[in-house]
Amino acid sequence: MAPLPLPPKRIAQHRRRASLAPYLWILPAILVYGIFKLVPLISGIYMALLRWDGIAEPRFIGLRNFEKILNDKPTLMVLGNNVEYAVITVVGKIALSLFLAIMLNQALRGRTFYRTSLFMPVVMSFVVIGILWRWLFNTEFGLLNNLFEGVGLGFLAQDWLGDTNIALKSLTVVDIWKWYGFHMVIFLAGLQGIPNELYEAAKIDGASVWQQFRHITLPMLQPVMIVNVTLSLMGAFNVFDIPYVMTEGGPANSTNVMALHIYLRGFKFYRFGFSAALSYVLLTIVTLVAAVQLWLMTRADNTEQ
Amino acid sequence: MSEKLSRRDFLKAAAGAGGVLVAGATNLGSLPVLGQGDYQGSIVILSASAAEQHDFMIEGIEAAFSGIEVEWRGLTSERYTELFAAAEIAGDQIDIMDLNGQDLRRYAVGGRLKDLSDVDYLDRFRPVGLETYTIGGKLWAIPNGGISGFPFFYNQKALDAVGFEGDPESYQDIVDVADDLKAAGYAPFTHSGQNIYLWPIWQFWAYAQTSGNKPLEGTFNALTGQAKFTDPDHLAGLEILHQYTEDGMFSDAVNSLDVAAAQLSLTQGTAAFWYHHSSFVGTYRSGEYPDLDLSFVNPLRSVEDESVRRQLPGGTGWATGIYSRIDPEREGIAHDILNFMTSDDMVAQRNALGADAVSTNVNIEPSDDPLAVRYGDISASEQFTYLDWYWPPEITRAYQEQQQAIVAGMAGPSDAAQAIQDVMDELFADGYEFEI
Repeated sequence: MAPLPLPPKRIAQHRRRASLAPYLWILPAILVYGIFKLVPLISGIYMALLRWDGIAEPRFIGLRNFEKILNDKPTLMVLGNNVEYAVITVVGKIALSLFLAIMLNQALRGRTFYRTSLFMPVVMSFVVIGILWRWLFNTEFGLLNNLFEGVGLGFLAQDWLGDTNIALKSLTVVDIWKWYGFHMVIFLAGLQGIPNELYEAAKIDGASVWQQFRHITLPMLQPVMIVNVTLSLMGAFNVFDIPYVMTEGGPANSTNVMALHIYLRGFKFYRFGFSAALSYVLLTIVTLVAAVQLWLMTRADNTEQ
Repeated sequence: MSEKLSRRDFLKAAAGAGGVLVAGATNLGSLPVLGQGDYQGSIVILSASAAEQHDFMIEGIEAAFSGIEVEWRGLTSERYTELFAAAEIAGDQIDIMDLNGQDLRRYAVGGRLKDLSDVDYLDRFRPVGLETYTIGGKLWAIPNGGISGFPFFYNQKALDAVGFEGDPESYQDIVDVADDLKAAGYAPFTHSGQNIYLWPIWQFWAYAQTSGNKPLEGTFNALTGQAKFTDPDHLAGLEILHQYTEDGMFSDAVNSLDVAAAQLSLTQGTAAFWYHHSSFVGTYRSGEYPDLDLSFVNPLRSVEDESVRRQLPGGTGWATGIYSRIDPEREGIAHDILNFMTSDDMVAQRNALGADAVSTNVNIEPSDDPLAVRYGDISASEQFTYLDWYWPPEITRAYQEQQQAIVAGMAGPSDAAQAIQDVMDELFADGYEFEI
């Protein structure tokens, strides 16, 4: 027997409920996001307009904190460090993770073992990694210098974390090592989505390995590339743990980066208002850089298509 | 404590409390008279040190004050500021503040501590501790723990290896044997140059000499604008560091050494001297270091004037005080607990914990460890308060950065001093005022 048709009022009610359901499902996530992200983000704007040391009564000073940032030499220096850090880590992470993803996408014995091993640093704690690398870089007892000396390349031994010309670059090595596995997994997922027929057709047409990479792999990986570059770029501008654990921003401020600078201004110098203003400057920079990069990459993608 | 206790923990706590009661009964003279009024409930101690290290104190308080439950929140020294601010803004209960001495000024000047000038048991403490925690003529915290500082540790084996006899006294003594030390595999000095607080410490002892043993007066003058960090006496302190660097006194990569790495250089016999905190004596006694025969002297004389004393910077224990906005209902009991926490019995246990050579309390005998006794004999009387207990944190950071730059060969002493003074001038322009 066919079911009786529902009255129109019940149908409308049912539709209303159905259209509400998705919102209810995401409500907990929105609430968590709102309470722990949006509320601090908005209330932080007010703090950026205050002069407050965490003890005395806060004093409203308008935009003076932002004005001060423009003339603050250490902030400009730290920003320069951060740009250098971002350029090196983004290029390094993308190049290394793409290379490894392509290698691990081949039919290789022990592939799962390699994938797991290479992913390991991602799940390790920053503090553990910081301490581990600090010892590896130790000039006197560290593995790196002793290895160089052991194989007759003693002239390559360096003061990895104490030389102001090298220290920041040493930290970027650690950052790349920590995160390449994460980006590699994303690239691997992208590679596995490329239809094999494209490569077969290209081979029949006589395309070399490089030509296949250039004209099939790279364009097909474009969406994944956008995700990887954006994530690594934002990570590079927000980096805190590695410089904090490994060098505390030294020597002579040469490894200080924006997030650490913000922390020091806030929690060591007790300038919470200035520190909040700095974090909005950083937010703006990261947003702008990410937007420009997204626009450039999307435009390139559209042009290719 | 408010945490859930396991049966084992309960038995342990009960045994500890029993022990304290027995100790109290047999040693009533050392414990203060307790009068807690009517309050029963929790007392919150915001401490810069961990609760696990102070079980004896928590158990002691709970045993001595019936109905009192201690919530010891170990905020750590590094995060005290942020966690205290969070607790205060959240309206959490705060009763007693157990501060790292260097933070006392901030909370005293900020009006977060009760004036303790009138407490009636001050004769229990060494005057240097009380003087250190007095600002603007009022006492804001009770010194609690050990009097300790930074002598020049050295490996006797290194000096023996180059035939040096007796105690080294001057920088020239080390310059004379530096090449031999290096030939024997020892860098003359190692130092934890990466740590934010440890290059400034180097300036403290150097400045004590270049200021003619008036480091505090000179510092107060610079912080009140009556003198500058570019003045010859301050500059000369940086020049001493520059001289040590130029003469190749430091181990390689000294700017990247943390405490563990520098300690390793001394204990493994690759450096002859290490400038570090006296608590290293405790570490030395509790470990096995076959390559090290530890001794120490006060900082080497590094100025020409031989009448200048070789002073060393140090601190006078934890600064324990009462939160100024404490609920009046708990103020009486908080004072009683403060009295108890700083009693000879409790402080002696805190001293044992930190392997302190000299106690903040007059009646506590220093350790009988030969090195601790030596500290009491030659160092304690030459100790002055760490200058960064007075410096604003921006100056501490500026010193650290500029001293690292000197050691790295990126800046000369004059440029470094100017950069530090620039930071100070900026602070003045921002309304900074120093209260003595």
